[in-house]
Amino acid sequence: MQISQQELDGGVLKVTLSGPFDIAGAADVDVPFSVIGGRRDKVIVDFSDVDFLASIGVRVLVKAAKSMGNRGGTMALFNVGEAPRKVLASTGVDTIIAVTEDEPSAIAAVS
Amino acid sequence: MQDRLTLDADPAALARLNDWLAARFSEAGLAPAVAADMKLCLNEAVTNTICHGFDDPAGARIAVELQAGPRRAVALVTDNGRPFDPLAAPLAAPIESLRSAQIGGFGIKLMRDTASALHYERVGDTNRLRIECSAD
Repeated sequence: MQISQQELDGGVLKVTLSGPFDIAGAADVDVPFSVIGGRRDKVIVDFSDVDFLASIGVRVLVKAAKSMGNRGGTMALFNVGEAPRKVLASTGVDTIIAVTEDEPSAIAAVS
Repeated sequence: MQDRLTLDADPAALARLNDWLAARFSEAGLAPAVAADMKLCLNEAVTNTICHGFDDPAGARIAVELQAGPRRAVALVTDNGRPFDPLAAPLAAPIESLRSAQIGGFGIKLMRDTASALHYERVGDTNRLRIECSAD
């Protein structure tokens, strides 16, 4: 899984993921997400190129979101496809991490 | 194409599984939504076995069999790991807040929510998990 980061206005960090968020994908991005979760407080994650999300990927997201939340930070996802959206709803994670329609909505959710 | 895939107890096995599934689903003309459900269930089942089923992965035997048509797929996952019934396993506590949320434990719930039917039995030294996903 590929991960890239881009600084946006207002101290927002945009993280773009690409590839399946399965056991291998989670291994690829676990450390970067841990660093982000420990240092940043306004993070939006572009899911456009993530067509598969397994529970091990959910774990990475929740761990980072909790770390951010402990410091008052917020994470929001956007452009989430049908299959990953279903996983986030089934696990209830969409109640603690905002799942938004597009980038402006995600920025608004964390600002 | 073979309707049975054998896997090592190694995370790299998931890539092999998913490549095999993509070919099988295409061959069967399986509805995309059902294919997505089956892929998720099998990833959760096999990941769980790889991560928790074996003290020593050297002797692990994991196999996935699949029968699929346009609207329905049935998979049988067998392994010789420690006994584990995903239907009897306790679920993670429902999420109430970010602060109290557990970090993991979502896989079993995802399987139960996603599959149309699940059946588990232990036969000898083998776990047998049957997963059915259907558009009906």
